[in-house]
Amino acid sequence: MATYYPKTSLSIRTKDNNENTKTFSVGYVNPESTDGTLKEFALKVVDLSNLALTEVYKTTQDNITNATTDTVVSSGWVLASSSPFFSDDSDTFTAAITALSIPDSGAGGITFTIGKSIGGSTSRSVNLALSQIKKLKNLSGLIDALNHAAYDSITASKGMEFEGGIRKVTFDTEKVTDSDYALLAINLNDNQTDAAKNFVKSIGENLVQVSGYTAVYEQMPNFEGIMRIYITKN
Amino acid sequence: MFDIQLFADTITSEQELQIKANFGEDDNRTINVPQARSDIETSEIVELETWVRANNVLVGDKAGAAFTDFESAILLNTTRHKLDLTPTN
Repeated sequence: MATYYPKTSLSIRTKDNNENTKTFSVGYVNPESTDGTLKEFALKVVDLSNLALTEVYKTTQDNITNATTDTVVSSGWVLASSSPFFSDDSDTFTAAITALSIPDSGAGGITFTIGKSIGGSTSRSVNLALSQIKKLKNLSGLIDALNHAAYDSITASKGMEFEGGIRKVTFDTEKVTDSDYALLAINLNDNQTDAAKNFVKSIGENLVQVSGYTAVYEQMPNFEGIMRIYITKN
Repeated sequence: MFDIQLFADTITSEQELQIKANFGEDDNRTINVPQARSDIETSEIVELETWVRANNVLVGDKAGAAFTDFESAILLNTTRHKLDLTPTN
């Protein structure tokens, strides 16, 4: 049987929370696949593991000399929806993860800080702590929305704590009982752009992945400009 | 006088996901994903299969044949019991 050329194989390098790295191959891929498609594919595969994607590279074999060449498709920690580690290797970010902590137990959950420079000079960050995380879906959408959001303040109650300066929202599941709810209200000031609303929605969509809790994103009744994420225990 | 050496065996467990992919030309291979999640659902494998087919990413090893389907997805649990062979006095 004839061997086809050029042969291109895809390898994925990952890291776990103990900084141990692994490299595994998914085998031969379509040589006409774009780097973006290969990166997306690698993300989907790593999404089935408890690992963080650190590098994707393809090995191409020359059809005449049989010499191989490694080409990095994507580098840096990349978000997989189930991975507790994430970053974004987009060049629109001046800082990716600035803080990451994972407690051994309790209601702490995973805390991360996303830094983003908006307008070239103003840095805004959102620090979310989520407990019992199973998946973080659409976080890339959240990051994109953060690029456009213009918000003045975030207030929280019932199991959520808000810290000034860096806008930090901590969702403590132990403070939310069966009959309680946690409410997060985000004041979008006068800039009611769709991107800003999508930003709030993205937070809600991420919070909805908290095991045992349901999050509803909605316009706060009678308070135009204030969106809320309403979290109840299932 | 003899020192008593306590054995310090090491027991680790790992989970690996083995996805068998089929291609044309009667070709197949297994993709091994290390440290797989224990809560993987069938729908996720189906979704991945659909995406791989739609985006024409995987090709066969032998002749670059087109991907057809995932034949199986197995979560393999491996428990390693490393015996401590430290000699005692």
